[in-house]
Amino acid sequence: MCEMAKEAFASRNYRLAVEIYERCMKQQPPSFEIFFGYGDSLARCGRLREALDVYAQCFAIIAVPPERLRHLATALLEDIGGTSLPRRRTEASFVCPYCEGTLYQPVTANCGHTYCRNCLESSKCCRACGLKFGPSGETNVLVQRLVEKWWPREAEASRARHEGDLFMREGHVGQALERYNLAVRLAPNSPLHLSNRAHALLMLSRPQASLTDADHAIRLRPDWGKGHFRRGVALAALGRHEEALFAFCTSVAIDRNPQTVRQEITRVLHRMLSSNHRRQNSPATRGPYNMVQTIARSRRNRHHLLLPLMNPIQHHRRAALNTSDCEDNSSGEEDFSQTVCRRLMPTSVPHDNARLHAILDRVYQEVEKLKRVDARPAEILLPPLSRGDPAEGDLDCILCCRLLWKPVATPCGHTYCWMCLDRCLDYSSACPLCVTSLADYLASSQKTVTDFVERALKSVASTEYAARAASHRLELVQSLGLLDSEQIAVFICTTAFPRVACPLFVYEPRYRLMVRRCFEIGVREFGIAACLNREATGTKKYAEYGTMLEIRDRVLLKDGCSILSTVGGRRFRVLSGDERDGYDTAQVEFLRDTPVQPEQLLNLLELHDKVRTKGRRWWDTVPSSQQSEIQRVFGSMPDIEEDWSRLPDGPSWTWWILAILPLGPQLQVGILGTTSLEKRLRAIEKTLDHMEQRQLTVAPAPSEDTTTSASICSDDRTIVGNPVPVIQRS
Amino acid sequence: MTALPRRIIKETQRLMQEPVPGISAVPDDTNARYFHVIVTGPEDSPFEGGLFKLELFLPEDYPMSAPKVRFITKIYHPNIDRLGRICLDILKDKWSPALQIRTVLLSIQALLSAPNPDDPLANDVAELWKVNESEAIRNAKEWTRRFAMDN
Repeated sequence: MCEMAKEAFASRNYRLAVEIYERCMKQQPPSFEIFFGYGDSLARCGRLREALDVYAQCFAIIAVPPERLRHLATALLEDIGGTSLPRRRTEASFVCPYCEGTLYQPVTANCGHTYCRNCLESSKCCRACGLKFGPSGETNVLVQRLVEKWWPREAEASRARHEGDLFMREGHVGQALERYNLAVRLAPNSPLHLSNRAHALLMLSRPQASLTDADHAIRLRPDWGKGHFRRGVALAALGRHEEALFAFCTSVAIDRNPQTVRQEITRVLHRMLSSNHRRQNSPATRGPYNMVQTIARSRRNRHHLLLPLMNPIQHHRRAALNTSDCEDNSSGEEDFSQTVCRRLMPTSVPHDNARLHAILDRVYQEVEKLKRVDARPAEILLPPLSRGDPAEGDLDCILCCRLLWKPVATPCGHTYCWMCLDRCLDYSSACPLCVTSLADYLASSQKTVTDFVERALKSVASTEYAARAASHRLELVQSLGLLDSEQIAVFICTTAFPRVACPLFVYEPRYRLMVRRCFEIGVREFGIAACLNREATGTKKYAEYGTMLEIRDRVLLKDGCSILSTVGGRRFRVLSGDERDGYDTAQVEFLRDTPVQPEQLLNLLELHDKVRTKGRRWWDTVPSSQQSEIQRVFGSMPDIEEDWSRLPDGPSWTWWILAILPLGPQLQVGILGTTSLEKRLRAIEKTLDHMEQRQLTVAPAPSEDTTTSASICSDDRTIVGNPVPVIQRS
Repeated sequence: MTALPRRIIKETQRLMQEPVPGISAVPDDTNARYFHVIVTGPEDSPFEGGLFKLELFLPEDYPMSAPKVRFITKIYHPNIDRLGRICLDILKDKWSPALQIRTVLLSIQALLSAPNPDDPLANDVAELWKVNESEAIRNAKEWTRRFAMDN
C-alpha cells in the first residue's frame, strides 16, 4: 500500500498519493515514512497548511533533517513563484539585464542586448530574450561613452561595485566592503550597491549592519527580489526565522528564482518547525534523552506501536546526532525513513501551528499585493532630457555621418548603421575603424540591432530617428528606381531572355548592395544587360537592350556573396543611364512585340511550326550530356502556349532556344531588341540551318559545378564564339 | 545626378570650419565631389616653403572606395610620379571607409615629411634617394623652389 503511494508520488500523481496515504493510515499504524510521504503529497497538492501541520507533528516527536523538508520548500516556492507576476522590464531603463545596474565595461551580445562584461561572462543565455550567447566581444565603445557621459556618478559607482564583486569572488571581503562603501557613497539611491554591501557585511559576521543595508535597499525598491533575499539571509543569521521566511517568499514572488532561494528557505522552514516543537516542549523534555523516554513510554503504553527496527541504543545515538543542527546531515533521511515508527494522529493539530499558518497567510497576501506592482529594474537610468548636449554627434554613424539607423555593433565593439556596415563588408571584411577581421561575424550572419543604442536614439532623438527611418525607405526606393515606373537598376553582365532562367553569382560589392536593397524593400526585380566592348574602348558600355529579371531564390554564401535563381521578364531599351552607389541605373522603355496582323497570321503559324520542328530536330542531335546540363540550368524546351501569337514576347520556346544557341553577344542583343516575332523566328531558323550545314552543336558544357562559368567562357571547344552561359558572374 | 551624400557635406563643412593646419581643400563650384587642394610643404623637409596643388575626387561609391588624389604641382619625391600619382597604402588596399578627406590629406602631408624610397613609385627618384640622399634632397628643394613657390 505504502509502495503504491510512493509510486503515485513518484509519477507526480500527488492527489492519488494523498488518498492512498490516508487509507494507509487508517489501516495500519502509521510510520514516519508514511507520515512524511503524506506531508509531502499534501504539500505537492498545494495543501500547504495541512502539510505544515503534518510535518509539525513529526517535529514534535523526532529531530528531522532539513533535507526532509525539500518537498515542502519546493511546493511553497512553486506556489509563490508560479504566480503570474509581470516580467521585469529592464528595457524600461538602460541597465544591464543581468545585474540590473549601470553598465560597466558594456559588451553587446549576439542578440543585441548589452551586458556588463562580468555579467555576460557569468551567464549562458540572454536574460532579456533567452538567446544563447556566442563568444563575447569587445567593449561597446559607443555604449560606454554614452553611459559615462549621461550617468557619470552611476558609472563610477558601478565600476566600484564590480571591483567589489571581484574582491568577493577572491575572498577579500574587507577590500570588497571598501569598494561597496565607495559605490554607496557615489550612488546612494541604488539598491544594488546596498545589497552587495549587505552581503559583504554578512560575510564579515555583521548581520545587523547587513540587515540595515538590506532594509534600505528594500525601501529604495520594494519590488526588487534581491533586496528581500538579502534581508532574509540577514534575518536568518539573526535567528529571526519567521521574518526570514517571509522575506524569502517575497523575493521568490518577485524574481521567480526559486533555485537560489530553495536552500535558504528549507533551512528557515526547518528552524521554524524545530523551534515550534521546542516551544511546545518544556526545556526539560528536550534532547535525545527525552526521545528515548518518549519512545520507551510509547512502547509501554501503546500496544499498537511498531517496534523500532534497530537496536535502541544505536537509534538513540543517531537521533542525538539529528537533533543538533542538522543542516549537513545527509545520512539523516536514510535513518529516518526506515527507523522510528510511531503512532501519529493527523487530526491532532498543535495550537502553535496557527502561527505558521498566519505566516503563510501573510506571505500570500504580500504576494497578491506585489502582483499589482509594476516590476522595474533595480536601477532606473533615464537619458538626459536636455537635447542640446547629450548626443550631438555621438549618435551619428561614422560612415554616413547621419544619425545611426538600425545601429549594430561589431564583435570589436564598434557601432555603425546596419546598412553602412553591410556595404563596408561588401568591400572588405575588416572593421572600418580598427581593421579587425569580421569574416567570422559576416559568416555567422548574426547581425542584430543594438538594443541600448536604438533606445538611446528613440529617447533623445525620437523625431530625427523616425525621420531617418523614413528617409532610409525613400532612398531605398530611389536607389532601385522605384519612384519612376520606367527607371530601373541594371546588373551589367549578360543578355537574359524572357521566361528563361538566368542563374547569377553575385560577388561584386555594387551588385551585392543592389541585390540586398531589392530584398530589403521586397522588390524582387532588376534589369540585366550584356556588357559590350569593354576591352575595345576601355570604358564600360552596356547593351542597349536588356531584360528584367525576377528573383526566384537566393543562396547567401558565408562571405556575403550570393547565388541568385532568376527568370527573365519584360524586355527594355535603355534611354539614358546614371549611376547609384557604384551600380548603374537606367531610364528605359519596355518593349513588346508588334501585334501580328490577321493577314500575316497564317504565314506566321507556318513559319512558327517549321522553326519549332527544326529546333526540335536540332535539339535531338545535341549530345545527351549537354542536354542534361542545359536542362539543369534552363529547364526543358517550353511547350507552345496556346495564345503565343498574342503574347508580348511571343512563344517562350523561342527564347529558350535563343538562350542555348551559340550566338554572339551582339547578335543576342540584336534579337532581344527585335519587336517582330517573325524576324526572331527567321533568325533562329537561319542559325539552325547554318548549324545543320556545318553539323554544329552547342558547345560542350564541361563544368561539374555551376559556378565555374569563367572556364566555360574561355573554352576552346566553343564553336561560334558564344558559349552556353551556365551561370553568369556579376 | 543623385543628391550629395550627407557624409560628403559634413566632411566639406568641417574642412571649411576647422581646416587642418597647412592644408586647404575647397570643393569645386560646379562639382562638389572635386576638391582643389593646397598642401604646404612641411617644416624641416625639402618641401618646406612650397605650396603644392593637388586635386582630389570622391568617386560615386565614396567612402567605400578611396578618394582619387593627384599632385598637380610637380614634385621631386620617391613616392610620387611625374603624373602626380601618389603611392600611399591608404589610397589603395589599406583604405577604410572610416578614413576621411582630412585623414588622407594629413597622410599625404606626412608622406612629404617622410619619403619612403623603399616603396617607390618614381624609380629614378627613389634610386637617387637611396644612393645619394643629400643630392636627392637638393633636387627636391630645387623642384620645390622652381614649381611650388611664387605661383
